[in-house]
Amino acid sequence: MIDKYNYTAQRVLTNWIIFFIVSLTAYLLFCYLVTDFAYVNTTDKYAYQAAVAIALIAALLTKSSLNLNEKLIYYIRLSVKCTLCYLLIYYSLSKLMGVMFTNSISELDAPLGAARPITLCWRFFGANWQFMAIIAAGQLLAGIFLFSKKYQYFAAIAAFLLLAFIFVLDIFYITHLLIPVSMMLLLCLYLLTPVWSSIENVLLNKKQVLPFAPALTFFNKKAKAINVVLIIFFISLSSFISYQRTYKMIAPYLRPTILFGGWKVKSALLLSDSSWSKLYFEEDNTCVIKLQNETLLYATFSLDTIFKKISIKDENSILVNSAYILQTDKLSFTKPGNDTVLLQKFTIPNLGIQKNMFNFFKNEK
Amino acid sequence: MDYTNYTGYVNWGLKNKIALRFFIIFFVLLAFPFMIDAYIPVLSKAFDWYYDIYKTAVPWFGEKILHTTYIDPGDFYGGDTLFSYVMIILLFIVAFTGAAIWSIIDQKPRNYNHLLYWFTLSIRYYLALIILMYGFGKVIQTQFPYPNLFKLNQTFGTQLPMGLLWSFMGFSKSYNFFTGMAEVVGALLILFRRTLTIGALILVTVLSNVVMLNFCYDVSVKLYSSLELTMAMFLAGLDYKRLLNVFFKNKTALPLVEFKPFSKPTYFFISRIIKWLLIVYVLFYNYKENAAYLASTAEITKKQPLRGIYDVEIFVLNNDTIAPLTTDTIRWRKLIIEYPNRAQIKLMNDSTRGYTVTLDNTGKSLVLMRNGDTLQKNYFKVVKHNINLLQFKGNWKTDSLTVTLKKMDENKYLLNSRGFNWINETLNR
Repeated sequence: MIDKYNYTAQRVLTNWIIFFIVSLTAYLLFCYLVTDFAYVNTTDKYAYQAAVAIALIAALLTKSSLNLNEKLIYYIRLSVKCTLCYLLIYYSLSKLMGVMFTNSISELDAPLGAARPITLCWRFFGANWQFMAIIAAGQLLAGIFLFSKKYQYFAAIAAFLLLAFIFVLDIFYITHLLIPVSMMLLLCLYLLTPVWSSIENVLLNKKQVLPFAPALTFFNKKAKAINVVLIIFFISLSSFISYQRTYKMIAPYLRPTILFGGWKVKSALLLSDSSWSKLYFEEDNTCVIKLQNETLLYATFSLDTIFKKISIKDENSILVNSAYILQTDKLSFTKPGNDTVLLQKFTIPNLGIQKNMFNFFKNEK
Repeated sequence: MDYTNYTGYVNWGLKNKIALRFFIIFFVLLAFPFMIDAYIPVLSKAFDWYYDIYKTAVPWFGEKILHTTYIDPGDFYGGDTLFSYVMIILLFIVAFTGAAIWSIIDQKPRNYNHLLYWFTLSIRYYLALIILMYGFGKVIQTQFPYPNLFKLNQTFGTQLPMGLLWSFMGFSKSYNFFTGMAEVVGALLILFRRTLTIGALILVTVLSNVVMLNFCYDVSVKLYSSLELTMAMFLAGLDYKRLLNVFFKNKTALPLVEFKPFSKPTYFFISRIIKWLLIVYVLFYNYKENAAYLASTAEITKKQPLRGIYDVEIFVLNNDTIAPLTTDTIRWRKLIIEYPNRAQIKLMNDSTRGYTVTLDNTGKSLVLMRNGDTLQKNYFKVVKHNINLLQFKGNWKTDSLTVTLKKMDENKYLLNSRGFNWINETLNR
């Protein structure tokens, strides 16, 4: 693998990774020393983009001057694998656990035309958990097998293909993940650079191809064993952290309130005004209010089931803070100004969606 | 042996011979002559006698032997129909019987290298011709058109999974182009021996996605897309030893020596000319057909002057103005008119009904007819019609009705107006 370091692309990408880490660290250090991180929250995304660009320019300028030894390249590649592995495991678990591509009930009841392209994409993938699970399994396996000596290049190709699919969706359905995904794609390409000519020979030229992964000469048996243990530990830790993070996000959705569902305001008149037409009490204590003119208000609600009190508030004001009466599919409460709201529960078709693996296994039983 | 060409390492023992005979018969029965008449419409009638055999044999086999329910011979061209499944079972049986008879007749010790080569070549061309059809359908966006007005108004939850897939794909012309190009490139690459492996691997990737979508979103071509994926996997598998050695076993992959089917250079030259003529014809034919379809769709759209989404402003039934109560089951909320003559009425309680709308040549009267009920025709006189407003009055079943509608700007829909943005500051909502 190391003798292929002579490739310009390999050199540029290795240098790029080093410069990226250095420039981002320098920027964050600067922020810490000068501003005590005051600006980091608002400008970190630009810093991220700037670091990518600066690193690329620096890598192109120094493409022939940096002379890295075998061991350093090994560790750079290992760190790249760790980064990719963690991200792949994280995104995989996010899909399996239903954090990504969730379908809220208000969105299921909204017309397709009112959705943004990304929402359309989100709803589409969220509509079938099995499809998501297959992609997630691919990501998970690719992430883990990146550390395998034999299968690392196949894993990198698989990861590259999956990420290319996501990258294309990011571009055409206008999501906010374009930069991280393109970074991951570059990292995959970096892992593949030593074997580009071999891949070309096996797929196109039909020439002889030597084994991809020769034995590492600078590690003794003990060091190799420690490496394996550390890699297993890293994969386990990544999975644990990812699980914790995603579970924290999904937890509120697993315990919906008694009001969960869509509610129609009874006897409301269809006028182009701001009176309420429908209410959607989501699983995570958020509430979406659809006005008669079809605009949506996003709010949060809290419920006191002992004293039968409900409170709904948006960013600016308290919309409801009163007692409520709930009778199976009928709900009533009072808005400020003694305006009583009568609501009737209605069923929202949901494509038979299974949102996450918890629901999937529950349904299977 | 210093090469790993698939015709070089096949041990032509009895098992391999029987397998090849079986697959040749199965493939010929499955594929011939569908791609010929698909690309040369003049010949479509010439094979009717052949198709009639299928249309007779398959329902008979299904109903009499497998004791299935009624099988409609009209489903011959269908997707995941009972006809198709029974046909595949029948073809398996016929191919198995044929292979057994062939094996009894032909017992001479000889290799099947040439036969394997021509069999592989047939699969390459058959698969390429099918995939090019689908590929061009995506590149020119005839397979997945942009969601129509009914779709734009339909809520997510009420869509069928397949409908949602169509809307998702149809939204992005660029994504259609990308997926279509992947299919076109893969299909073209498998037509050349040197690029066969990479082309087959591209098709395996693309078709895996297609098959997964077909299964997960209940698209009714699961069977045929699976067969196409199997063919692509077979083509990629021709180089499986080298691929396994390189990607999974970390062993040396030996160079591949190409099998040469022609002994004389003249034959090779002629085959090249035929191949290029075929490629040019197929590309031209697919482009022409899809472009013509697109143009005809655009033409139909122009012929429906009322096309649009209308909000009902005033609804007067029997001289009584009905208030827009959200629980009302009679008053209309929206009228959507789509090309060529389809209409949908959305009531106040969000339920929808489909109608056929006919506007006379003068544009002064229109007829609304309930789908599936030709007897119930509602005649209306158009009182006002301009860019923003439509008013008509007439009879609605046994009542008199006057409706005033306001046309909605389609660009109010985010999906239509969002456009492309490099920088996205907000998250999903």
